[in-house]
Amino acid sequence: MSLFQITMMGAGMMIGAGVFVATGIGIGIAGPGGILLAFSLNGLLAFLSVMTYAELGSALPKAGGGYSFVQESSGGLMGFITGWISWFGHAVAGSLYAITFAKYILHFLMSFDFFSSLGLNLPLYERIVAVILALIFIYINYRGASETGKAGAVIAIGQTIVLLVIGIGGVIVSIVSPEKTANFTPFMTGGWGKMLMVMGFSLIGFEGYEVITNTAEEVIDAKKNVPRGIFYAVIIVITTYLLVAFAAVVGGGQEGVSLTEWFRLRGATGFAEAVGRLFPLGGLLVVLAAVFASTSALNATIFSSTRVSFALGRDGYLPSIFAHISRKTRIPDAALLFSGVITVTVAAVFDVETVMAGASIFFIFLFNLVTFSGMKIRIERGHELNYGYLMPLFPIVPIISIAGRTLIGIFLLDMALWAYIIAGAWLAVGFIYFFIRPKRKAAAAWKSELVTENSGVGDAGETQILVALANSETSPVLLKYAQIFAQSRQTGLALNTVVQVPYQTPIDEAARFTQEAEQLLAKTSDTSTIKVPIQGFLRYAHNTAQGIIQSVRARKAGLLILGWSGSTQARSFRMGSTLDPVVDKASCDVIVIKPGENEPGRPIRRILCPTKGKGPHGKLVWELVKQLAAEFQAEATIMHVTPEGKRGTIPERLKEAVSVEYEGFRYQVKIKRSADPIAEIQRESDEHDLVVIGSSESSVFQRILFGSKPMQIAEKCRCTVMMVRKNTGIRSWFKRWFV
Amino acid sequence: MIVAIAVLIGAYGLTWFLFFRSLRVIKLIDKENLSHAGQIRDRLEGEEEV
Repeated sequence: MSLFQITMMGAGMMIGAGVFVATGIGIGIAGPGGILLAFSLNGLLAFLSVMTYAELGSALPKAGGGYSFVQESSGGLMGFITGWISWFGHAVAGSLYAITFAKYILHFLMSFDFFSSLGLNLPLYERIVAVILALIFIYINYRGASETGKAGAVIAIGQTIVLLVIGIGGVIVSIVSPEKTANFTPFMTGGWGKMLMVMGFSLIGFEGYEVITNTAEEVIDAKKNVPRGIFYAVIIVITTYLLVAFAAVVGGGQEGVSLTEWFRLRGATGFAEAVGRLFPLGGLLVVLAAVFASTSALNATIFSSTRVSFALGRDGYLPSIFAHISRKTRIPDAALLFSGVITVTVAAVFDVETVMAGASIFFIFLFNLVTFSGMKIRIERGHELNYGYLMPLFPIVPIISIAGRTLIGIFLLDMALWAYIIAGAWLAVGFIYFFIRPKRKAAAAWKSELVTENSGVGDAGETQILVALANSETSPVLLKYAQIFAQSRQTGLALNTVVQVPYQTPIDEAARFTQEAEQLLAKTSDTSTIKVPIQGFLRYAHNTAQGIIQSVRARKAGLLILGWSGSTQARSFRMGSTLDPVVDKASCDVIVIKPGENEPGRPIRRILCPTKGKGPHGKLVWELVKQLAAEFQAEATIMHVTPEGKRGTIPERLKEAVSVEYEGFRYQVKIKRSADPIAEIQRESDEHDLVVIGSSESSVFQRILFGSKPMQIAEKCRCTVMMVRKNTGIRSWFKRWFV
Repeated sequence: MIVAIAVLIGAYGLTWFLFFRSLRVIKLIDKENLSHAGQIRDRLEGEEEV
């Protein structure tokens, strides 16, 4: 994952529901100045906490999250209590997001006469909708589905942009209509005490960046990008919240009613109403943002709480059932169900203020424990860890961080007594359970490192060619051609298989599902026809495409070879959900091979090379064709098809270039004119054993709608087709980082 | 009100200060390939003296 992706993931997680709920309620308690101060001070406090997470995340990328950090530093009771709090805290946060969704959806529906005339018991229906939504997402997680990284990033960008638009809109309105700034007087209606209370329950809006440390193992250049991603995410969110709170103040209120009273009467959805008065459709915009934000945050907290309870089970703290992973879906099903019970129960029983305060209380405890552990790790192991970031002013920063959070926790007592009672009860149960539980050994630590085997002739050495194996049908064909390129480059082959587990499951648990992948590697490597050094390895990943891309980077491969069956079920993909992103984003040259009839034993006597000229990919194509022609003693046919009605001098330049390039080889040049170049090439391919074609340079939309020309050719040819894409530098870089 | 606004601006400003300071630290560690806490701390203190 890139820096941009993790930044948006962190920001998206933070903008869960906190701002949509806390803004309205907060102004109702502490006034306009109170909410701005609360967000500003909470932002500073969050940043102090983030500095600890950034430090630990850069030094311990494999640990993954708050509970793991505390386990590393202390283990025992402290480790258990951290996990216990984190489990419940995330589950309760999930309830908050479900309730937020329910409130905003019903608020939107109530704006229609039909629904408002029904006289619905809103608090009851809010709970029903919240419970149903939570159950839906528990089911989605149970099936092992989750948002793809791309969808998640799009939602995060969308909700951040919407809120920024709202915030900037509020600033513009205040400049255009300065009378609206009268809403800021009186500034702090509840005094400093109420402001601190609002800081307490809105703290939940400033958590979520932890998810970046959970995925550190999958981040490019984790040592520097994990801390950077966390800092960027937090500063974007703090600024967004301040702007949004400003806009809410400008938009809210009415004649004869104080602003504070106006928001107090409207509660959480007061924010949507206030924005709705700022500009047309503002209210609808907020509802949409709240719906997307809360559902995506609900999804993320369900699998965060699942992962933590799974980790507690795996580490021997909770019964072994929590460590069970479904063979079918590869997710920790029991941990998910138990976490789901907490989320559903809390959403059904408690009101939004109590839930919000409760979630904040748990995260106050959690962040304090993690901050303390960060200090301990720095003092005890700072001399041996490899830090990508080190917080300045140590230990003042973490001490202030702990003290600040504790202070606002105390001020929350007044508002959230029930939340404290529940938190206290949960902690008490945890303490008692820890001492009376039957002692169980932690499961043996599964290593997430790559498994390597060496076979073939000689030492693999520095490998430049990576072959991504997916199944035993295409693997022998890939190996047949990969060896030729390896011999030509005087290098070995790295055979890579990705073992995938869903996002709900910690990545190192993929080690439980390696049997099939190991068999594929063994079968592919075990042949007497291998002429080059071979090294086989597995990569564990949440997403197969990402796993292959990471392998390319880790091995510094210059060439990646993949197989394609030749058909794609979903129209939204060109070659498939795995191949498309790999071909677009791999940081090296790529060859996609579609095996033809009678492979891998088919003799190669004639090679067809359709071409438009040299181009960015053409040079590589010709180089490969010459390597293949030399190996198989084959004749190369360089073919150019000019569409009917088009003029040009390509054919003459082509003949000249070919005669120079293919000197010493057996070749022929065919120049044709046709209304359907693809059909022409396909007809010609019937008389050849192998087609080698360069990647398409046609526009993105054309490729999406119709499939690229090389792909269309490959689909129709009966012989083996190689599609070649050269790594073209800047354009490839842009796609890799932002698309 | 003035005190409240001053605290508001001060807190936000301090957050940005810590943000830029932290990015500088990351850049320095990456550029000079530093790793352990003591090494990084000595380098940062040396920079401050200069």
